[in-house]
Amino acid sequence: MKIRRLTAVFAVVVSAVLVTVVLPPSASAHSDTRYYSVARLFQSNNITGASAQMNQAQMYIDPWVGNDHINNVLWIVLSGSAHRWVEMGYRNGFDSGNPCSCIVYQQYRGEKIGSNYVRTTLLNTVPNGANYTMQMERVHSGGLPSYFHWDYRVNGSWVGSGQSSTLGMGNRIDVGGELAHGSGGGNRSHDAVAATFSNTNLQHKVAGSGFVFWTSASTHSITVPCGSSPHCMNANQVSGNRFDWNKP
Amino acid sequence: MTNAVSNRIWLWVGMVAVAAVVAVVAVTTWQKDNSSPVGAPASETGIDSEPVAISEESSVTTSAQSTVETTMVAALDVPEWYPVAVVEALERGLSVSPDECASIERTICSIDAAAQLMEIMRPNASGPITLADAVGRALLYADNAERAFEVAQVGVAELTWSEAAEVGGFSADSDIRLAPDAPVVVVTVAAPISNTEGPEGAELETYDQYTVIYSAASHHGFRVCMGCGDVAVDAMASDYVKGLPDSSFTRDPAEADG
Repeated sequence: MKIRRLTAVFAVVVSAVLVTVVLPPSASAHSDTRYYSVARLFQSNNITGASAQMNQAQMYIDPWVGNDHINNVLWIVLSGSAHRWVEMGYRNGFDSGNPCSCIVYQQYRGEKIGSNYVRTTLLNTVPNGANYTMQMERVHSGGLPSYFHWDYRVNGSWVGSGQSSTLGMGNRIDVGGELAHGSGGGNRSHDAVAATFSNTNLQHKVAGSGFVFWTSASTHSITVPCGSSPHCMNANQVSGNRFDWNKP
Repeated sequence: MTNAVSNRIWLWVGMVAVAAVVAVVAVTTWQKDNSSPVGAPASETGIDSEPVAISEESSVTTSAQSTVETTMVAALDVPEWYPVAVVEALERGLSVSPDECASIERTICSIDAAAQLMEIMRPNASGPITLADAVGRALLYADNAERAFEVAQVGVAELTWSEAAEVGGFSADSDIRLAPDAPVVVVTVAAPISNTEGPEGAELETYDQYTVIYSAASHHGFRVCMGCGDVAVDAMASDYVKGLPDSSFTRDPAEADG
């Protein structure tokens, strides 16, 4: 009787181990297939604004699959966490909001302030090679002294405001390229081209001050070495502010 | 001339003067009321509507010969369907220098900037978006659009922009491209969607539902919120999209009808 019990317990343990080790992960799991090539600025939780001259440049992935997209983006990471942020820039990828429900090149703003990610299309457009100044700035929400929201501007013109919250200031600014491609693409080329930003036009703003160029910041780096990061693309400066990306 | 006669003459003179002033004021008011209203609702033809002259001011010289610096705002050619908030923001922007404009909150600094900003909201000459159109387009956001078409549940509502903001818990002021009473179509889809946008280090998150808000006039979905349930989910998606040709919702731009 005792041996039977021990056998039963052993069988349960072995089954559990087999289920854990042998069976594939849940079909709903997603592999992270995002890659970045950015200039980065760290500040100690006091960033209240960022500005960069972004090029409305050709960006593409060949071929497009699923919800692939490639972006030129200016991000501010909030409260010391990459899980809350504001962003604006250009995006080329599938968007069902477009009349053609197709891959579309657009100017956009987005943020994850609460538990949700919200993206707003500002303009459907086409690559034209022109530079546009993107700016985000943290301002008081009217009548709510402890609440703030982010204002978004393009070439100095206000294009929208984000959600009000009591979230703190930023501690990191990234500007550059993001490539996201879904799984199941097979042996695809990841050559994605993006003219991103001009190193001489990156500005940031901290509490109590105006916008200043990054070169006056205490710590900054223009390129983030890929190193062993699985999500980093090498950016090869082709000319001026034009970069070619190559996944390592 | 007796005092009585003299008083009667002066009384008539006074009444005529008062009547003349009243007439001038009335004519002026009538002219103002009959000028084109700014931010009026879009006309039937929408995009072909006539531009509206906003205002024209000039420098004013006071009796003391000191020039008061006032705003020189040229007549603005903007379509009548522009929301009042956009026109007002544009007026503020044109009333100051470009540098100053860039520093002012909620200001649009040029007519071209306003036009670019409003491009996504442009009225569609072929008519407003239908609920089936909106649902079909929104379903394409799901990670597995084909499956979403078959089994997803949706919530659909035709609201004004301010109503949508109230339901969604966000501020209607966050997007002045839409007047508070502008019609929108709100679609919430109960289907998985992964957010692949965000800075390096952000978690790749999957939400079990999402909401797309469309400008009813333009067919554009201009706002996507992942994880949001702005409208209660209470119907099968297939009930909305059955009967529509498959090409209505193709991902291939070459086959699209837009």
